[in-house]
Amino acid sequence: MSIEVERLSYVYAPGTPQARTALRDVSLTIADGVCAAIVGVTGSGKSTLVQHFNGLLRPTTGRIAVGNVAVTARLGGARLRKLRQRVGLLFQFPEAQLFAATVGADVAFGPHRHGLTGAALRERVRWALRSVALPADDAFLARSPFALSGGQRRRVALAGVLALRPATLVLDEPSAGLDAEARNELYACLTRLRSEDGLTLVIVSHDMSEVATLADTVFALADGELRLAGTSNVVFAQRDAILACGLQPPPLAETLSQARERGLMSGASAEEDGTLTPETLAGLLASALHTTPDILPFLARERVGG
Amino acid sequence: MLENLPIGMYAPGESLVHHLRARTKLVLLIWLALALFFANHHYFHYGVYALTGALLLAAVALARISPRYLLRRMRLLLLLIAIGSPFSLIWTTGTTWHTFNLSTLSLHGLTLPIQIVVTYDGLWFTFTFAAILLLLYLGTMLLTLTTTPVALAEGIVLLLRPLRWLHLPADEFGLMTLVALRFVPTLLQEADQLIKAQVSRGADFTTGSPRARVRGVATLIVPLIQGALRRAGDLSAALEARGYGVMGQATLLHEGRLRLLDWALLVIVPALTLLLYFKL
Repeated sequence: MSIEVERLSYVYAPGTPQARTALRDVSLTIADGVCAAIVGVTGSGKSTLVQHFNGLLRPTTGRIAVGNVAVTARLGGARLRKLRQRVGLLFQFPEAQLFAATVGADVAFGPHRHGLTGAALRERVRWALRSVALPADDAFLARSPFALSGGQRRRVALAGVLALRPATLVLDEPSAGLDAEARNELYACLTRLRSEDGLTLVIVSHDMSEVATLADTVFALADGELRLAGTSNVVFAQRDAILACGLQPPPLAETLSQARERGLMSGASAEEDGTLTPETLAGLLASALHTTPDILPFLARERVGG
Repeated sequence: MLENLPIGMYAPGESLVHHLRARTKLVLLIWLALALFFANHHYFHYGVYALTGALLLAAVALARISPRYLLRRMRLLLLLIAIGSPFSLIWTTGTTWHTFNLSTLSLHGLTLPIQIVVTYDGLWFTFTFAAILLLLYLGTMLLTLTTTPVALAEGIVLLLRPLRWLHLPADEFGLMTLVALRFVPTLLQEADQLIKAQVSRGADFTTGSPRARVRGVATLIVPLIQGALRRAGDLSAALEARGYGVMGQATLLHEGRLRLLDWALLVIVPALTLLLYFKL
């Protein structure tokens, strides 16, 4: 499902002394089947934006269409339920939303609320757990979610959203607070969901290496306004604009732009006259990657702007 | 979804009202509340009410709070007063002010008048109760709009200090108030996020069968309590680790002294109310 946002503005608590404009005149289109990243510093309006995608928030002004559903103040009833099922939203630190006594009951909550019962429900729960690379046997289903590790709990929460079989999955800071291993498992899981189930992914993040790893389209927000938009190589090549949004370009893009700056990669000539030796490039890479060494397994998949 | 909840609402500003010490505003509000209630026994003497009204309106103007916003917040109270006033007008006994004859009823040859008797007491009590409710509501709203929750809690702690001499746990109470206040916005935010997360998964809190609604609420309560317990544990560990305890007499880090304006108001307002109460 494509998401089309047109001149969207949103004001929190309008008409009170606490009124605050969170989004200003944002227009963007997320095509079907892509992995889009919405990046920005804390308070830039990225969470506010994605909460419009499944109708949790309604535009103050402007229009937003998700598939063929227009998200307006009047949207409700069956159409809203359908939208919430089609667009799964996983909030920040989703492990905090687990409430049921067993993993199975927690994952089953969503589909059960949407009318699934019996064998179909059990099959759906098992499918969801398998999609996030968790065991789907009876012993695991009967475990308490509070007895799992942090990374596992987060994937149970993800399974709880996936069990609705959404066409679009919106993830707010999916890897915040996870250790490197849990993060890599999560990334692998998201990549698989996209390739196998054709999910459209929308990732909200301020971690640029995560964005570079997963996303092919990037939208950068700052102060509630859309500052940059385009494919990830185009956006990450605009180093100054990214820094102006308060963000750090991803390590590899940063390394390459620094290399370019120091004349190490001024086209083919640099390689010909030998200024770009493998040693200097390796040194630059190492220093840039030092901040996030966990990105290494994904380095091969990262595309770089030119 | 909880952003419209009027808890901890504070409208930042730089006005004179904002700069008054929290304890000045608290003491004045308590004083005016007492004055209004005592003035109630003084039939048809409007002085104290006029003074309180004038003070509060002046404060609203100084603090630059939109009257439309205040009116909207007072809608429910105004409605309650509108519903309640006719009853207290009709049903208060006392010296008759006016008798309204509505019609007569004939029963078995007897003619009974249907009439409404409005007494002086009825008039006065209806007016004073409406005035007291409105003025106190406006006053407390102004207090929270122009005072940060922390300043307010510190104000309460300072006012309770004399209780130390009675060996009452004033300092412990202060710490508890501050800690509790600190967590109100956090818990609200957490509840808001949880509601959104569970609604996204198909939970329903406002429609559906009672069973579904109870289940919906359970999806909030369990994680909220879990989060609150975890946070309380973290906080107590952090306090322990710093060797925190209520020993001796705690002082505030930024204990603002009362300024000229505070003293002036604390003297002038009670003096004026006393004057109005006894002389007019």
